[in-house]
Amino acid sequence: MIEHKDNFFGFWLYLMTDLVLFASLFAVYAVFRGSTFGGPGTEIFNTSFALMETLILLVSSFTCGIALLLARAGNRGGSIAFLITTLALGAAFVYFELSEFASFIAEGNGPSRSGFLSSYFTLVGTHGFHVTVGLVWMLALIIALIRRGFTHSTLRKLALLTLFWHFLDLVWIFIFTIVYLFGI
Amino acid sequence: MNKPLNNAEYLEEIGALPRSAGVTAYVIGFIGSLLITLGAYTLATHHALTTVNIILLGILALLQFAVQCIFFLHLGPHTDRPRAATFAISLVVVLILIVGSIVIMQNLNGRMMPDAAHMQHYMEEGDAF
Repeated sequence: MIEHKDNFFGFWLYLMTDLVLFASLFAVYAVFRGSTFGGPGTEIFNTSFALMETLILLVSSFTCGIALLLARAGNRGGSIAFLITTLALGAAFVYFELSEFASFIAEGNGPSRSGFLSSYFTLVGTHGFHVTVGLVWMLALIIALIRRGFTHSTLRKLALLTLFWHFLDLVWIFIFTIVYLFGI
Repeated sequence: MNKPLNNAEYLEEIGALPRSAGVTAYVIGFIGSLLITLGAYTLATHHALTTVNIILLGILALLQFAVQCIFFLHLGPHTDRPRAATFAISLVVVLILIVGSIVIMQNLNGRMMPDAAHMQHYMEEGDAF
């Protein structure tokens, strides 16, 4: 009998409900996209900046997967190194997203400007919040791996974190397409 | 007492990482996603956003979704039933939520009272709403 075998399915269920949460936010964004209330529309988005964010998140998703593969092979140093790379890329992503938010707010286009901007900040901000939570989790896991190495507990957490991280990359694909590419 | 599982056996047992998934899957997933992202970006920035192109961009996003589900999340025929079923149901809920919201809100918008300028026009022309 494997201990905590059901945890994986439980976390999977959480991700599925998160998918529905993001779908609601996408629906709100789609409905409010034209509700600019005399304020700016989607032309304020910088598409090449969004492409850079997309590539950062994609590379981090890849490095996170490699960290899990190295863990499977029992390579602790390699796994930790790839997790630290993922952590750095994720932190860069959150930094760029926050600087984008800050520049919009500085121009007077904060979330209270219009229905369109409220829905934009909610959708992209919720994703950014998930990434931030993932970063804290990743940091805690790196410390646990350094101190305790691979146990069934740390391995399972690494597998769950990897799943979470890939999931966030999946959600971002649709933010990139629907918010940024459709906004040109 | 059974022999304790090694890393690979444990990860496979909890359903996290099938034995068949190796570095090749991640490289294919990564390069595929990279090409699709760059293709979508080029399409959006170098061509007018016509209806056809919007549909194409939507298809590219779904394609990338599929690529990452297969090569990063390792979803496939071997996926256990509870996960496959909840995944399918979630996709149906997502579809109903998004399509339903857009259709209902557009319909409501169409029934809204027209603005003052249009009202004037309607009253002078005597058109039915």
